[in-house]
Amino acid sequence: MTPRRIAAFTLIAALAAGSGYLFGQKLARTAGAELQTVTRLPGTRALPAVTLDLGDRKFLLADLGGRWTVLFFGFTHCPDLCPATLALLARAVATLPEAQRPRVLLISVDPERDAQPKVAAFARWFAPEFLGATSTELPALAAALGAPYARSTTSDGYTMDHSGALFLLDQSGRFAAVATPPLDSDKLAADLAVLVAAP
Amino acid sequence: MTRPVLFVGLLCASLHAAVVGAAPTAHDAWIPLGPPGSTTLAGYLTLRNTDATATALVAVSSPEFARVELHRTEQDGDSVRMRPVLRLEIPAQASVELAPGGAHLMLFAPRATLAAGQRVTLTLRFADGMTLTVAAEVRDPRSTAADHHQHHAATD
Repeated sequence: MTPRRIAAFTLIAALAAGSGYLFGQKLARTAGAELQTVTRLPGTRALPAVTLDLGDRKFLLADLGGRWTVLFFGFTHCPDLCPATLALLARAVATLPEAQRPRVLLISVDPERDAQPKVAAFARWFAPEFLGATSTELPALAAALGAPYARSTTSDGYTMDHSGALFLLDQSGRFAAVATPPLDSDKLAADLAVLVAAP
Repeated sequence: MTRPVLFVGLLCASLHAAVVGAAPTAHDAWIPLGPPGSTTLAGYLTLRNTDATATALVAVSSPEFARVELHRTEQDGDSVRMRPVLRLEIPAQASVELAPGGAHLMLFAPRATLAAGQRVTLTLRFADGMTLTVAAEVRDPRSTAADHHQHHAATD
């Protein structure tokens, strides 16, 4: 090869590599950027037949379906993360058309202090449609979703350590995605819109 | 001519810092309203230490609450835990943000029902004994305004 040919070849190779890189970037954007803060599970998972108490009704975790559900584990004596997460969820969900809004369900990890009506009232304050549940099968429920919780003694009582994640169930009631803190209401709203719009 | 003046000025500034120090300043102090009957609320603010000496926030009190503690919410593996902290370090010439999901104030037993828009007096005490009085705004965390305030605080 003459030096000129080498130069031309190098230029062509560089252009090809460059456009390939740009094309790859574009693919990555279209495929990966659809969700900003929510992570889909590699495959959806069925959930066990654990009973949730919603006061006026009881139903099985496995039977949550019909629309998307956002589960959050918390407790009513939680002053920072739980209210901040529920308020953020309220703002995110409010951006969706009413018919598309996911069901939001707070599950208490503090059965000793949180009777079901108390959990329900706490959740409802953030948005009238938010639900609050207790479960006598909490360990199985938390284990199925991979949501650790533990009681921790403080100087004047106890507090609960718990998962700060949001657990998302699809329209079939299958565990489909998670969102872990720190959460951003705008990104979460955009992701929820993508998820609920999917066929 | 300017050098001696500058030198004297610097000397005064350093003497001032060494002897008197400067209390950090507080910005965007707010308290999210909680569901009715909440016995504990969180308090958030940004502390800015313009001084050349590090300090620490060691105590907070408020006439509106029976007790105020410093706490930190932290991620521990897949779990989130909240623990009291005895002092919150504020490095020299740095800002420390007390924000949801991180370091925050724990305000115990409100003496009266709070309403959005109300201002609550907080007295902050630092390691060197200096105090700072701050008016924290009570905000409804469900409104988008609270969200914007938070974004503002984060980028302030």
